[in-house]
Amino acid sequence: MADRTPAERLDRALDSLLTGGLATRERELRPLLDTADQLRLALAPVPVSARFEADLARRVAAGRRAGRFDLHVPTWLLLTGAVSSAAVGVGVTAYAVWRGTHRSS
Amino acid sequence: MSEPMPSGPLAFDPAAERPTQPDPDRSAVSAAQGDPADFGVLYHRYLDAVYSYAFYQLGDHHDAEDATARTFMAALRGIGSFRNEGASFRAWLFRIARNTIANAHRTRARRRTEPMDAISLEPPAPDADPAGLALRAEEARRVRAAVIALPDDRRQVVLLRFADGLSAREIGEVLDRSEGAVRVLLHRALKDLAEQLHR
Repeated sequence: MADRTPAERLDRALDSLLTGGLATRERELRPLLDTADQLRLALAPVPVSARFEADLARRVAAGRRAGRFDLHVPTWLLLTGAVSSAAVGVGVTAYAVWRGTHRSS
Repeated sequence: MSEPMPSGPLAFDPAAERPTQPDPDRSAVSAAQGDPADFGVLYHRYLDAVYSYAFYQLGDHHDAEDATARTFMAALRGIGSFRNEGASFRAWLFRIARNTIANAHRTRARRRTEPMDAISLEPPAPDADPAGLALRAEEARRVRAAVIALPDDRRQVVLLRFADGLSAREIGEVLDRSEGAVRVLLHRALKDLAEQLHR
């Protein structure tokens, strides 16, 4: 299907420009493609420092280990633990209230 | 601080005329979802691109490193819930980066930040012609300053297209716009820039 709008034709031409392909022969798009070429050069990839790359790689690796631990803790075990803790808390509180009530009477 | 994760299916233009490209990261994503130890492949594949995206918006190496780190840690936490339906991993990752950078803009202290257009990005080659280098550096500075002056939506589209090489479809997934809307934004942005730079 033929491209219909200037925006679509420009996008196709940019695909070609950014992948090192042939430039379009459309005169209407030439000024925009010249600007696009300036952008391509001015917005080149910014180098990452080796120190930062190594530091973040270590953090990602540590995060991966934490993630693996999370995966190996079953949900039912976490839920059981939470419910048990809550039950113990409620029980202890109820006992303390009961003891307090009986002492004061 | 945890970064907001993209939720639900990302924007997808059903009327797009071009066929959907298969996600080139599909196998690496599946591997990382099965075993988080495999996330390193994706980290090394996209580190430079995410860092460049952050740097060109924040204009400061320290802030760009912080935003990049937050982006990858958030992606690592969320990789298990990523579903490869209608949006590529790359678009999903850049959407996290975009949210992270927006947070950085909102919360960073009002300390002095060197303007992006004044930063030397690469050390000059020892045998390079100094006059030619200075001319090219000045030209690049002028172009980056013009990009920074664009309205936010046009600036985002230009950076994602030229600094990171995303397609119009992927940019639409990042920005929650249709592919057609992204093309129109890009067309307008280039017209604005052409007028400014060739005045």
